Amino acid sequence: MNSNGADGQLIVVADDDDDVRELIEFRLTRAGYRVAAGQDGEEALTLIRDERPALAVLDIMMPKLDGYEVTRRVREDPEHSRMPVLLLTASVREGTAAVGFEAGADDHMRKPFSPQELLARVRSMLAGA
Amino acid sequence: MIEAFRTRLSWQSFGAIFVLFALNAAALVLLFNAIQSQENAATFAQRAEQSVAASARLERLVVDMETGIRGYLLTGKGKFLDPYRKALVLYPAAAGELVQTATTPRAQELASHIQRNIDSYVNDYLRPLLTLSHRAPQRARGGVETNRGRQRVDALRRMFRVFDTSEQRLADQHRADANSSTTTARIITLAALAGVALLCLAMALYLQLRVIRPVNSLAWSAKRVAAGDLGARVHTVDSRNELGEMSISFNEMAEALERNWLAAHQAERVKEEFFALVSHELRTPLSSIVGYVEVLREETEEQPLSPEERQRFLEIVNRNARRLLRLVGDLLFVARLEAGKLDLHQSDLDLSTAASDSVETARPQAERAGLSLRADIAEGLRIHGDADRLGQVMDNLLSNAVKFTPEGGDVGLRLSSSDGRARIEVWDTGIGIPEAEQPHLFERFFRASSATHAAVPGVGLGLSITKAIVESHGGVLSFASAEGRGTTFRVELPLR
Repeated sequence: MNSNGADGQLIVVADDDDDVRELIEFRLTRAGYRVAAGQDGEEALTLIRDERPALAVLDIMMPKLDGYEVTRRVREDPEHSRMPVLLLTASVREGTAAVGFEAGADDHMRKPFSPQELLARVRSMLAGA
Repeated sequence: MIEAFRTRLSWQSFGAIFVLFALNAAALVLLFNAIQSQENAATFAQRAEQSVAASARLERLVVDMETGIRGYLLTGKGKFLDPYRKALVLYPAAAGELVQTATTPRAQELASHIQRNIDSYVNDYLRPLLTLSHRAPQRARGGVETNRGRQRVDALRRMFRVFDTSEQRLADQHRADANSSTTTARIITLAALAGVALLCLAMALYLQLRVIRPVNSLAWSAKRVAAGDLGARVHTVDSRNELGEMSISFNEMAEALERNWLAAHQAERVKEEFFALVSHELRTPLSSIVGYVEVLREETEEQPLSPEERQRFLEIVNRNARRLLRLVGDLLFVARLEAGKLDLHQSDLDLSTAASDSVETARPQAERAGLSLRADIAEGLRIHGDADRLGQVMDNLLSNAVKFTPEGGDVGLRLSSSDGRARIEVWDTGIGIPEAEQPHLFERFFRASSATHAAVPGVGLGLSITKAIVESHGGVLSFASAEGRGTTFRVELPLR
């Protein structure tokens, strides 16, 4: 299975909600990427460090470490300082996006999101990287 | 009272004013006395001087009489008698005047003595001599030359001298007194001026230090509080006086303001957190619904979905839709609670069956969490109540038990009855509820710290809703918990 441009790059996806995680995983694998999924911030960090993905999609509200913290720690590591990070949030509070960018994320999407749009953004970020 | 003086500003200010007044009054009294004595002295001196003048006048009259007689007797010319006759008429009055103007009793005595002597001189010597001069002028002439006359005049002269000296001395003395009184008055005036000036300076300094400065400091602190700095406090210089009390009151007020502000802010923050949580809890299932529906709709010929996939995704949509429905229901329930309207659909229900259903509903969740789920349910307990809501109560309690029990632990539900009441106990071997949080457990948006840290799903409505439902059935909800050991929630409901 493949789609335009994807060549089996690894993407780490982390979200504490099983259904949302599975949704993203489905969409991305269908488009030709490989996915390593985690349930919380710690798992996400471990996966990023071990698997060295091309991109990470992180939920913000997760147990143990939230999306912001994972992003910050990833950025501290020079190996991953260039890896694109996309944050997902269910919050409508002002300034959420700003905090995300300050933590080092490259993009930010609100929930509920369109999986198609998420895919498009992922593609664009990988193309640019 | 000494204590009051040392500490209270009101006492001190009255004291200072009193001292000022006393100082002024004393000075004025002394001044008045000085002026009075000066006046008295001046008056006395004047009288003494008048006395001396009277003495001089009388003396001249005596001299006039003496020289008049002598001149007449020696020359025989009548015109020499004129001064004698004139003086003779005048001298009694002058002598009387002398006695009157004499300033002291002794002077008066002296004056009387002079008067008597003059009378005697005139009546015993001068007059007889004149009479004699008419009969025997030669003999009379001789009489004038004798010492007797001369002696009498000298004696009189001496008396006048004594009188004059004494009166003059008195006059001088009193003049001197008057002058010294004037000097005293001047000194008193200057001293009083200096004293009052010093006292006023001292008062001004004291006022500045103990009153103006604290007042300014307080005003400044008040301005800071008004500008928003609720931490501003006043430093009390002396807590015992009125300003000190004002400072203390001000600090108390600022403290209360700060506390209120913090409490209000806290409430604000709790609400904000609640809204954030609600938002998250609504949007998460919505994400699944929206996302999976999009996937299902965008199925294309090139990328078809397998029947299993399609089935699975529809199930996910369904599940999340129900989840959303439940949450919305909870929120509306709470809203209705707030508005005071709680509608229950009462019916005759089998509590045992409802309990078993709840257990089974919770089983997948328990298994996923690696816990053993036990049920100990007495058969055939029936009550009158809202089946859905009571089911919700048991679901909520079981769900909490599972959420807060780590892997390998146990969770259970026990249904029993005794004295006309049904008892539902949901117990677990989980992390328990810290003592500090136990009083707040049923508060509306309250979430245990352990829940927030673990981002356990939920907005903190569950227990408050559960409690409301139980109580609206005439029941009681209670719990017992030990941190690290486990928790047991107990619901007691009246049996039909």
